[in-house]
Amino acid sequence: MLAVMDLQVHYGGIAAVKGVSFAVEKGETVALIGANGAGKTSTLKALARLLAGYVTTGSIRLAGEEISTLAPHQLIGKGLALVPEGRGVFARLSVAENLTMGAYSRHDKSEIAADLAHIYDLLPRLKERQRQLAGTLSGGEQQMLALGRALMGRPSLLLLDEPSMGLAPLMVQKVFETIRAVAATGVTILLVEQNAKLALETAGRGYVMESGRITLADSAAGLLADPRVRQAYLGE
Amino acid sequence: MSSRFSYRKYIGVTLVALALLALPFALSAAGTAWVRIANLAILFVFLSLGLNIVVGFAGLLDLGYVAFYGVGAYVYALLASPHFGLHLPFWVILPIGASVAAIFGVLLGTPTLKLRGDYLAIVTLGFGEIVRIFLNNLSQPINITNGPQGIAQIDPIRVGGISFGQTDLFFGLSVSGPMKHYYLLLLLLLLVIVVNLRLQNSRIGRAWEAIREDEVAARAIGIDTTRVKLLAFAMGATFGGVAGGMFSSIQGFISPESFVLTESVMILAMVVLGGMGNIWGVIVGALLLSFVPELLRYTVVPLQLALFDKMLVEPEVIRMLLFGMALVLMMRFRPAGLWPLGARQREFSIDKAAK
Repeated sequence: MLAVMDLQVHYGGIAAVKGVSFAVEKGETVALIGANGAGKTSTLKALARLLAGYVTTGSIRLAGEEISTLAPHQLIGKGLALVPEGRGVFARLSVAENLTMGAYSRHDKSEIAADLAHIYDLLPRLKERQRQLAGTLSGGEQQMLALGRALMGRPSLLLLDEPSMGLAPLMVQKVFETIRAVAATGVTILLVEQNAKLALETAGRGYVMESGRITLADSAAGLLADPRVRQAYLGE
Repeated sequence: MSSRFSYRKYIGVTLVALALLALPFALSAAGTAWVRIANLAILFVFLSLGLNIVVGFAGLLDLGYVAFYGVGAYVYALLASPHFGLHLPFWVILPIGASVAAIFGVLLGTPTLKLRGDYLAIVTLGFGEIVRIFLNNLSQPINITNGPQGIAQIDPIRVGGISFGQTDLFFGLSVSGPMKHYYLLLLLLLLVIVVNLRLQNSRIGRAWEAIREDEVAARAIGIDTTRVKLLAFAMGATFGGVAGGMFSSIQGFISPESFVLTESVMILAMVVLGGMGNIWGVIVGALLLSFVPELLRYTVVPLQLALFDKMLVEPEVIRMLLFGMALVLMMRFRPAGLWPLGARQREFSIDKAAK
């Protein structure tokens, strides 16, 4: 589904991503883990075409089509949705408005209504709060809202940027339960996460990034068992 | 229940309409100056609604908005005055002025696409000053704007055989020039409000809301932020251009002095005071900040004379003092404006109370 070849990102003279290649197959959940500053978020931003002002090279193919030359707003039409770092909900709009806004690129009204109902089933907390302003939700609820909003665009590939960031441990568990539930509906997910344990427990496969390069690639179980991962990222 | 409500609403709208139609007659009883003040107030409502598109809807802080007002005014003045010997009718010039202003909007928007907040404010402020300085200096080598002397003898509006520059009798009622302007402005205002309401509830309106709240997220859901931002600048500028054209024709004389930074700040204050993003709030803000200073002008002097038998403080000084105090108090106690956008929030608290 997604094939990245030799992706590089340079901020001025600094190379943040130094040529990474990886793939995500249809229906799987893949985790991209690593320490702060390893280049995970830069990789994801490059995929979402949010680094237009910087030098990015390499090839990004989505379902065989090169997307590295598209503008960011065109990606949702190709089936790629991003849940940005720090959630980015529309704070002064209601929960329901946030969700319908997620379907901005679509024009199939009845289908949109059906999807909204489906998302309320998947995320009942959002249904309870549908008229509340998004800015008044708790961090975890906002993360769920951002997830729901992205799903309203009917993506085939969902990019999640640090969904656990800034959340209380209990809420992190809840958010990851939701991510698993979304994955179970057949959406392909690329998950960028610092919390390596949770990410690998959620994903089927994983890549480890270190200073701009992918240094390990294995099944999630394999990575969880790998002594290097255990020592560096699981605190053992 | 609902039919009674709409019946009430109908009566309310009719009463407001009648009051607005009768207003210039009441005002001219107090002096034609008050009709002129009302006209200027309506122009400021135009300007505030235009700026509200940029600042309130799209969340882009613009401190150079008066530039578009100036562009519209000068387009009108150049095409309908002895300066170039051109005397085009107003319904031809007004769209031209609006379009030229829109082009200027895009000119301002393009280099500032990546800027937000403070940085955007600085660039837009600079833009406003650049336009003013150009107006001030484009008298050489070719005399285009006539420099600081400004342009005089601008044609009054003429519809059919009726000139807006003089008093006429209609059905035994004497209708002065300013009163005619008032009715024309009222008509335009209705149009401007309808356009604004439609814009707010449109797809573009929702896109503006999205980029105001979070630009990255807006892009992620498929909004072409570049196009939508430029559209906000262009639409806002269009209203400024129309207001400028009307100003030109009403005043008959314009000079760069009318398009200074303080005007931009005043319009922004109207938008913020009224309630950014809420069309009705912005209208209230514009009317308040247009009328209250004028009321003070007419009350401060007599009041001082009555109390102290002499004038201690110039009315202009008191005006600015009260204006400043009002703004400070507003920002302290009602930071979202007199009539803020958060109607939804109230709905929610009502729901909660009902449970």
